[in-house]
Amino acid sequence: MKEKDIYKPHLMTVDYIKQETPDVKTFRFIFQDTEAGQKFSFSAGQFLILSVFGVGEAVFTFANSPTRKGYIECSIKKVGKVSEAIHDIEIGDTVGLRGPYGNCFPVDKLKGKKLLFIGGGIGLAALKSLLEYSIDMKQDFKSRFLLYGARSPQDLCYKESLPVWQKEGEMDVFLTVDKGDNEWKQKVGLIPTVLKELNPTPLDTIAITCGPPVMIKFTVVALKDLGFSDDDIVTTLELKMKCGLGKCGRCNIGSIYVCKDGPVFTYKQMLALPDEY
Amino acid sequence: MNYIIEKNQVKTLLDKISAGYEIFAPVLHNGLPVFEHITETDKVLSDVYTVNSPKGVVFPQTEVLLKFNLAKNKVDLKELEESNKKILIWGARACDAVAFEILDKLFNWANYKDEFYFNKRDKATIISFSCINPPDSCFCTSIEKGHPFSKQGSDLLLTEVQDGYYIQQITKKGEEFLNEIKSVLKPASADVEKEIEKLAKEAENKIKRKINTKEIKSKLDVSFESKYWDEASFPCVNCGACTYVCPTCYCFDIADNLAKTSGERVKTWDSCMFANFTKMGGGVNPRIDPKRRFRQRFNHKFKYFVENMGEPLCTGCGRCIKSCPVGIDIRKVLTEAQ
Repeated sequence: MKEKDIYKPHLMTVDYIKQETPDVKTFRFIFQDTEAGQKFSFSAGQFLILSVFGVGEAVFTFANSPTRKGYIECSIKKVGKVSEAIHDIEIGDTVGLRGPYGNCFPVDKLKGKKLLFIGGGIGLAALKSLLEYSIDMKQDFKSRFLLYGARSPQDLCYKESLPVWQKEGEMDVFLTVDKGDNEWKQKVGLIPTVLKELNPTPLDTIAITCGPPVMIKFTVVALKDLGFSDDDIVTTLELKMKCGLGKCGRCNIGSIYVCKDGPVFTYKQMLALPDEY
Repeated sequence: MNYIIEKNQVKTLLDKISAGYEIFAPVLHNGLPVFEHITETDKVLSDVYTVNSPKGVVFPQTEVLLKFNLAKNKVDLKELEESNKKILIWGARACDAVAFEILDKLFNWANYKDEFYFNKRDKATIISFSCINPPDSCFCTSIEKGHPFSKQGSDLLLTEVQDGYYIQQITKKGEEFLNEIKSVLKPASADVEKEIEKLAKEAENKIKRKINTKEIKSKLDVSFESKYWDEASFPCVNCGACTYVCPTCYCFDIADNLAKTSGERVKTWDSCMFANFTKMGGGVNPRIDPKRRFRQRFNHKFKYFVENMGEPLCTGCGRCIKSCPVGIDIRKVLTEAQ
């Protein structure tokens, strides 16, 4: 039972900023209290709460693998008050970080399996943590495969990491955009459509998908058509959260609280929830 | 030994202990009895029904979680000052004390103990009044722990008798408090206990409206998609009054205030009735319409909380019924759910 300072954030120094797309930046944060940093541990799929002091707190996912230590990485899309303030911060600035919160990707269940990552837009950030983990712990998994889609070529994140993952992860990476441009050589089309074209086998495979709710909805339909079972489809739910501690009362779906029971759910678990989201 | 406090001795009692306690009690505010932090003991009311509940004593409407100073690149977190005084809650209703036991569960749930709540809760002595004449809006007898004379959650329970308020000691904390105030009390005759039992039985019988929480739970289990919620929620204006006066509603927000370079982070009451409660940064809102928010409130209280904590998030105090501007009655909404 954690009793002290459950709302008190760690102070973090911004160490690295990269503009990924017109509205997404990747940040790395370093603990100002080195000892706290050494004690801090998390698993892929968990979330954290960042704060810009004087503006407020917001929930983000860990984008780096827990195996890549010494910093915390988040990729943040500018969508609201806090994320806009985060986009304004500079290297050397201080932010607050609480966490880690929530459950994580079911790594034991994924062991020995083929991992089919399907990411849409900024949803790839949550997958990146697990994807890099699966590359660092290569012997634990059979293989990796990534389908990643965005609205346009300029909206794709991690452009420099993609070829590295391909090489180091010995994995196939397929990219698709809703609308291409003159230079675009890869696929054009919505993720569920492209997924069906690629026709991955469900055999020995677990699909892990993150993205906007509507993308997840139709991706699940496509996966079901391809023969994936409800239990072999893993996704994350995103709802408004404030405390991350199961107390502030807003992230429930029925009696499930996404902050404590999620954010990672199998499709089988999701089917048991009331249809509110 | 049993004791009685004479009505005209209440001020003496409060004055006696005021050096060691922050006192919270009912006072008239614009003509309405409300629970407040008090300094003038002569203004204190005793056996009254307050508009708000005393939950704010341990879970304040706005509470500072952090204070900070901003300098270039740097943030300094400041130590929060904490009062070393004990807390006295004088004049809760018996049902309000039940609410604290329910809130205790929530603030100690999900592997995180909220020290902001428990720091105050642990310091608080709760002195409640039983209800000899429960108002029409009351339905505490429908709740397992509820009763107009319920001892759950109180440290001392006071009941109006001829010569003052008869004191029933419930907890060790209550006993300690009694020892502090003994000099202003007078002994009660042995037959008062019997009278109290009689009054309790009579009070119980005065509560006519009952709801069956088990039956309600099983109806809520199957009515989520029902058109019923469109009809039932139609009059609701989503004002949130019900959630603010409720002794058990606990949903809160966390927000920052900044004045130049010095700021604070606060925990502040929120309400599931408000659209912003679930509206996300990108604008998506899963509880987009009033109906969904209305449905959430009743399901949270009598289904979700029951599933997670084993009891409803309600004491049957009826404040939501009295405060609703459009006359929504929780007993009716729940009983007719289908």
